[in-house]
Amino acid sequence: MIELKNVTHIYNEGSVFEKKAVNEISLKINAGEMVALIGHTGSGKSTLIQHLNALLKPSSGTVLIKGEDIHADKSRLREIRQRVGLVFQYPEHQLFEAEVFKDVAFGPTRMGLPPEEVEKCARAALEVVGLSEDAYTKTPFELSGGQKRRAAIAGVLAMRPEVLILDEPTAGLDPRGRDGILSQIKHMHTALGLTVILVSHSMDDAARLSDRILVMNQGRLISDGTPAEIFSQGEMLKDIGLDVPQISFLMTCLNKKNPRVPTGVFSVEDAADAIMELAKGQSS
Amino acid sequence: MILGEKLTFEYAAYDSGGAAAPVLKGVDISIEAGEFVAILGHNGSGKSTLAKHMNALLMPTEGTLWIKGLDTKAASNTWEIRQSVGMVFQNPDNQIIATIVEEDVAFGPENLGVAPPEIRKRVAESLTAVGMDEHIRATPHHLSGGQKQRVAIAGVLAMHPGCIVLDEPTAMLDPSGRREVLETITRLNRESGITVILITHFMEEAARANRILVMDDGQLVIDAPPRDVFRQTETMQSLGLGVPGVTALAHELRRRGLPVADDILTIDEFMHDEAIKSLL
Ligand SMILES: Nc1ncnc2c1ncn2[C@@H]1O[C@H](COP(=O)(O)OP(=O)(O)OP(=O)(O)O)[C@@H](O)[C@H]1O
Ligand SMILES: Nc1ncnc2c1ncn2[C@@H]1O[C@H](COP(=O)(O)OP(=O)(O)O)[C@@H](O)[C@H]1O
Ligand SMILES: [Mg+2]
Ligand SMILES: [Mg+2]
Repeated sequence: MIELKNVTHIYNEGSVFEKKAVNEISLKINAGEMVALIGHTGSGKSTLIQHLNALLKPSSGTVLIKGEDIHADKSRLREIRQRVGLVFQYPEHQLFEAEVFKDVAFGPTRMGLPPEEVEKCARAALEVVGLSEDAYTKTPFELSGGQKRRAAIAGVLAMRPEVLILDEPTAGLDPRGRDGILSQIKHMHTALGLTVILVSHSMDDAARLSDRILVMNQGRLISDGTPAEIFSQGEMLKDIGLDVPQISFLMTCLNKKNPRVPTGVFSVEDAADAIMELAKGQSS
Repeated sequence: MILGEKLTFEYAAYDSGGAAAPVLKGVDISIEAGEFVAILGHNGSGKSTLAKHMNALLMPTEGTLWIKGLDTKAASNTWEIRQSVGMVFQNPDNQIIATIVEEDVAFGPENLGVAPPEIRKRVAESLTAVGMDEHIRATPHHLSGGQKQRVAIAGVLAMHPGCIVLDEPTAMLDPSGRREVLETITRLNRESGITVILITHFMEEAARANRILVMDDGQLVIDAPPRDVFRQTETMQSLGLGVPGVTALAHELRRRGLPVADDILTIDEFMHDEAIKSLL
């Protein structure tokens, strides 16, 4: 679906501020995948994903969508940006209409959908992010931090993209908002085949939601595997500023005392299953 | 240190476009010097609004807030209040203004009219306190997110405040940055006695405070130590919040009949629980 070939991105090339933010990355993301991208701050995550919908152009290398060079035909960029929806890391970079509802309706309106359809898309998206009706007519700057982020996510969802890229979407969300929005996205992934790329600093979210985790360090892609594979490398992750999910760390501690405790367990539910299994084994 | 009575606030009182619905609804709050208090609450519950009252960026529409006995509504107190209560915000990139770390940390005391030799001393001390003294000559945009936040904290410390209010300081940080910032504020509180007020959506962070305040729709609904707060898993969930991961696991094990303690907050406590130890 999306393919990067030797993509390098250099900011301010040729000046003293030159910075190679993405370094020779090659990568393939298939339709219907749910991928998490993790890495320290400044590792190049935001730079990388902005290449996937042509907001940034590689300094060298190519980005292909369904086999076609994304920059080959300028007239198609708008269509590509609608098919590959990107929720920015900073919601302020995305909200510009005077009212929340208008802001969310902006995308579908520009896509030329009839008004009833626009209204439907916008409402459905606002429902997914859990913004209540009394927020619809507020200006975005009257929203709290977490409400702004919800509005920004809704704006992209309303365009019904085929690929949804979320740059640290849960920063600043309360626990219910975070779990609610992530589980709805997971649902859209399983039920509608939505391809999702989730940039996150939450190891828990990455482990719980994705089938595949990409790890970046200093502009390079250094690891690509299943959550179990990635989070079995706790030391490596710590060295590059990351960590393992709290539950998986706990299970590793238990495993050191009793090797019958399984590792590679990330959720509270699965951990409880494993520990109860152990308790049953002992009482019988 | 901080005492608020029946704090009510409407944004409409500030700009005519704002809705006339109160976003703080009669909040009574009291924080002693030297405390480490975490404030939790759903998005839009009023945490940031309350925080902005604490250094007189906002003033209550009704009710009174005193900082070190000074009424925030009196314009003549604003200067002293801003010096006593420093604020640190979420986005590391918006907080640093100067092009060299040293200048950034000096900015606050310069504004206060502190004499240059004293400024240099404060800058050095503050950067040491946050573990950033080696980076005194660094360019801020070369620092990691966690380092930037520590510089922002140093900038506040250089004003010699008695209290720091941090509004989601770790929300944008990677795991190591989050750890750095949390360790820094915990140490400042324990070793230098600075009052810390931490607004966060991370339950694990709140578990490190001495006291937790929970906001719900403009009201303060819980005021208790972390152990008592996180024992109430269902209540926390009904408020749109949660409990730390280990606490949730302990709760789930209890629900399934394993007699684990009901007030576990850390991995260490979990590992030392009798019911768990008997399985190992
Ligand atoms: N500048 C403003 N003008 C009008 N209303 C505002 C303004 N800022 C915030 N509000 C409203 O005040 C209420 C409380 O907002 P506040 O920012 O204090 O919430 P919060 O608890 O910090 O939320 P979050 O967890 O999302 O940061 C919300 O309903 C919000 O919409
Ligand atoms: N617009 C820009 N101009 C110059 N440098 C930038 C810009 N955006 C990011 N950078 C730099 O590129 C590197 C990667 O940044 P970014 O992609 O934002 O990383 P991440 O999203 O992983 O935190 C950092 O060193 C950052 O300072
Ligand atoms: Mg980023
Ligand atoms: Mg806030």
